[in-house]
Amino acid sequence: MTNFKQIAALALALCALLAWAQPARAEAQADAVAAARRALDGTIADVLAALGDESLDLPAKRKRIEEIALARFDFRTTAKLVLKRDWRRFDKTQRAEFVVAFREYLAGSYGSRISRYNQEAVDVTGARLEPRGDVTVMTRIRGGEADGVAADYRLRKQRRSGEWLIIDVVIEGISLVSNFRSQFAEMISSGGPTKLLTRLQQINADRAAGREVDLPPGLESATSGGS
Amino acid sequence: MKLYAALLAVLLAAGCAGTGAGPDPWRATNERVFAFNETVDRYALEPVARAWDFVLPDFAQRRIADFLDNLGRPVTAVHDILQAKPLSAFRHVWGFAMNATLGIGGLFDVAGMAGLEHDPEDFGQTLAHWGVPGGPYVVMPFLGPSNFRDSNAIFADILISPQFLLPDFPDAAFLAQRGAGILNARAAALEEIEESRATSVDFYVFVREAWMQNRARQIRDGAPPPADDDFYDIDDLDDLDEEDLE
Repeated sequence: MTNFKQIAALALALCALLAWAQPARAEAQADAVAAARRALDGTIADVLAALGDESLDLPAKRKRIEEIALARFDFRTTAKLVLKRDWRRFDKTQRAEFVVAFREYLAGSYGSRISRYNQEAVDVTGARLEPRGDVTVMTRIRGGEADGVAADYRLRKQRRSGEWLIIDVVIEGISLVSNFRSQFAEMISSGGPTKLLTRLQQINADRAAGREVDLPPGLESATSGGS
Repeated sequence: MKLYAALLAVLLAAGCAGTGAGPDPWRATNERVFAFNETVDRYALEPVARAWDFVLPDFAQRRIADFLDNLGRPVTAVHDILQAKPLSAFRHVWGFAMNATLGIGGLFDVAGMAGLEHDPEDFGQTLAHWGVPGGPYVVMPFLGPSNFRDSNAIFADILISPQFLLPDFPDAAFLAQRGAGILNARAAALEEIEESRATSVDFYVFVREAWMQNRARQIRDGAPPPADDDFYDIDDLDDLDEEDLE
């Protein structure tokens, strides 16, 4: 009989705990989604401000947008996601080289693509919690050539700083991470890490030579090997 | 029609048999066709699309795009019915009627502005809806990326297009309409394609992956992909030391 009472008391206590923990967890999740959304709202506002700034010419806009990308992407995580299992085939030096080259490559692509747009607005249409605590913020471009295009941003919270940074961009269902992963995996399987590093560095060099614009400060220090 | 359906079933079965070696078992052939398409684009399509883009103001290009897009709504509605989505079928028929009247013959996408966006459907998507696998990746001459299922399915879509069904519809008008659609779409992507060609690590793989992912999204009707926990998992990879990056 005492046994039964003990079990009942335990069950009751568990129920109470669950009842208390369940909303707390839901609240934490809602907070995460809201925080990620705020972070992306800020990024979008910065990009649109740069695009709408008439005192900037095109190269200056591109540079400004590259700087925003450098601050708002978690390049280390994206670099690892893109290499996935191949990350282990890179030695310590190659890993560092890859992160530096990939960061420049991605920021450059982002800058030259986005800086062309000027008559667009961006609607944030929603956000959802993903496995592993990531949050996807969904947006839609309004106006111009890219009218109606869906761009989803996946953000991950930084363990140390607690900041929400972008780890993937999915445009019309096309994930940047997934697309690069396939491209890079094929190159690594045919020519090892060296082939991929050479190709990335070559593209970066071509781009830097073609536009004759100084790299943003973050990249300058990263590529020159000391900061 | 019956013969075609039977033929397609046989071809699809054959296509499925070839899926053993990843998504692109026919890569050698595909790469040759891809190179051919690139040449066609560089010397024929892109220059004409540039001229088109130069001559036609963005406003006119938008009107042409909206007009052609609206013509696709009835075909989409047919596929909505074939996929047992009557509500979508109704939305597309209603949107078509709205644009044809309020949108001045379809030149303005008022339906889209009213929340009745066109979510295009085709025979390939209908087959996918009922579980027919895509089969190997295929690069079609002139038409570009596809897969085994969809490269056959497009012929069925030509058969049910209004222009093909109307006996008096002139061939020249049909071709002009298709041509305008291709030029208009190519003109809208001039910078994007140039940028991707110059800066992708491997342009063939870039196009293949982009097409496959975008196609999968169309088949899901824009819904988010099923969560893949492993895809975004990097916990088992060693972290980079802070000082290595300096």
